[in-house]
Amino acid sequence: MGYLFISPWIIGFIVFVAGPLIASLIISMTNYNLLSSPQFIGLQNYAHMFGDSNFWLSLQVTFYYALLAVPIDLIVALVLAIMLNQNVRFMPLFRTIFYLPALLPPVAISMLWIWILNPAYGILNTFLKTIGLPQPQWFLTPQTTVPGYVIMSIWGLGTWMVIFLAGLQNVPAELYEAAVLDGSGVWAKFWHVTLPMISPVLFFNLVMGIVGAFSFFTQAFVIGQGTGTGAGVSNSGLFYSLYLYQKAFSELQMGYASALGWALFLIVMLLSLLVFRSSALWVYYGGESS
Amino acid sequence: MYLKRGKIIQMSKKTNRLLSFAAVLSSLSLLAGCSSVSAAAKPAAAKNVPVITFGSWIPWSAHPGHVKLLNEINHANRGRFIIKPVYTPPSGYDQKLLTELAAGDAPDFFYVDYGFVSSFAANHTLLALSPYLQQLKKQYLAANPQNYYPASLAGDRIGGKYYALPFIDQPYVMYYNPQLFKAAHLPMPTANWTWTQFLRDAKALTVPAKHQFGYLQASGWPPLETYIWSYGGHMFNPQGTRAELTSPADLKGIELMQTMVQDKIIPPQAQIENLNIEDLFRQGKVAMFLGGANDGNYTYGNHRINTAIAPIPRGTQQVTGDYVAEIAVNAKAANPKLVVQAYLDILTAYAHTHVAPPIRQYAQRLKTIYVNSAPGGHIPAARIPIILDSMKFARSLRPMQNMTNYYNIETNDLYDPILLGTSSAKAAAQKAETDMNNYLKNPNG
Repeated sequence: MGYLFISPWIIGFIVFVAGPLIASLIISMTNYNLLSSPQFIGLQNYAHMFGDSNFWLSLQVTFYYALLAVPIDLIVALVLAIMLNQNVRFMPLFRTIFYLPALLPPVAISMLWIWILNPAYGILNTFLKTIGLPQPQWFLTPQTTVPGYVIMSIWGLGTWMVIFLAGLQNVPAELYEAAVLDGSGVWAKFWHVTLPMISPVLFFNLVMGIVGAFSFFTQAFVIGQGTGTGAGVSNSGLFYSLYLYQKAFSELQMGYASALGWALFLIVMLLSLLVFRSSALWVYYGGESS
Repeated sequence: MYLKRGKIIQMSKKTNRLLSFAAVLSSLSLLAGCSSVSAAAKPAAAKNVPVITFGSWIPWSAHPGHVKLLNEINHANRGRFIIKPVYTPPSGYDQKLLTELAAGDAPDFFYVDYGFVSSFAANHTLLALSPYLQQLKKQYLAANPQNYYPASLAGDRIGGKYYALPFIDQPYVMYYNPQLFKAAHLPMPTANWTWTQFLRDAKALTVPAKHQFGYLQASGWPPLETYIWSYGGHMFNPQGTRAELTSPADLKGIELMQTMVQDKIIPPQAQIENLNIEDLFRQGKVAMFLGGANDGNYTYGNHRINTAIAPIPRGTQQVTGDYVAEIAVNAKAANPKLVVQAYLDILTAYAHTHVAPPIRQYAQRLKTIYVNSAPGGHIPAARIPIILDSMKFARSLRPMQNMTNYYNIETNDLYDPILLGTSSAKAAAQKAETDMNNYLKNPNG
């Protein structure tokens, strides 16, 4: 009877999750271009990756983005959350304003930032020119393409900020009182009270950040459309998910694209495992024995 | 308001029946509406008259002229077949077509991008047209490949058989702004003008103070092949097995693009990023623009603008490129002969409406074609000989496997480095040649 009650979920899981997963694994071992039947080729698609220069380039671009975006975004989101956790007038209004960008669709955000980061007449470069700083070419030079995307990601930090805010609001006030009594200053309170107490939230945001960075697609796709290859100048915006999409839907290599998908799964799983393993050293769950 | 329980039950039963009836009625209506997304477009089919579906990236309802010609074809063939258009927006057209072909659900005949004909044919998804064309060539001009401009058929013949036919063949021409030429005291371009004259004119037409440029070159447009061909280059050897981008002729074409950058006659790439570049010409910010003959450039918004065309300047020879779009027949179409007849009817009708028809006999009637935006509804007389001449010396891109990789190499190795000033023409050509040769060995690599 219990199985009957959960059968809708089981059916949905099989049809929409497990089934496609298994199908994708099988397709990854075939040569399949949608127009003719798949031909089984074993692990050739996986072997091909090692010699595929664009595979390594896409990994490089994605890792570069993750290495920049994830720490910067975490720090900025935490700082914002701390600022929005103060007892200041109109705070709900400020929280709303800071959260709003997170509600915008990624395509709309991309269109907006194409204009903001335009090297010739974008407002960011106009501002930099006003204060006498150099104006990068952003998406028009390989060196500044990924930093351009990182700047975009900072703008949409609302969700992380809200999660940090929830964590901050759950830190017991008596811990801060005790710290003050012990003579702690602002930095000591932050380092010895705030950070440990919000470490589970930090851990969650870190894992989600890694997953998000490696599945970064929409903005790269939309902004890349303005360039000849669809992936930035000299493929400087060739993120892994974008490369996977191109292989599947531009070049009709469904088998290889499926193999890329499984490789991505393994990479993200390994990184997540690393973070999980390390969490024992720095994540503190209230109530656990020291 | 509460009623007594008995009354509620009684009313509920009656209400239930009414509600059920209403639910059934509305469900039936919903199903009828949903049974075909284009139900409104579905012609009233007589019993047993085959409905032949036609996939295109044109929204038929937005083109009264197209609807009219389709109705005429359906009327002329009443009792034999009815053609039903199936519209897919251009941006998702290729993906949708691929999905439909994979699912066996594609329309009976459909628009197909130039680069896909060979791969579709290799996968047996397109009907080999040759046997049917042979039978029907006395009935239809469109059925005889000899009637077409040869360049328009470059991508359609695979293994000696035709798998698609073009419905439009737009040669590239040079649009120019006569007012800007007059203001700069320059003679108008002539039929025999050269790239040297072009560069001289473009320099004179570039006025930085007015943010006005003589010409426009973006990453990917105009195609580099046009410049290379005009200097006698071919990009590849005749067999298509080796790239020759560093040959003197090819290099001259590539250097032409570099000269445009060095002479600053084109807007910086940062200024044209994500813009509709042809709009810059229509706005009068660019004096010359290389575009397809069908572009027209008669209006900007609701305003009529004064533009003219000239043939592409010559290098060592007179050559231009062209844009060709094809229609092909689904290999799984039921009753292929009937579908091919419907297909040829559409091609014939298009030859009377599109600029320019790829069929020579119809191209001679260019002046009769109705062009909505053109002054007086027809192509200006002065443009017609230029378009017809350009069709004679137009050349199409060589169709290759996995054109996406081909374009990527062009963009990464040639357009972007030269236009952004990060590489010389020679260095860019050397890199592109190496990458093209690797691509030829392994197109999917």
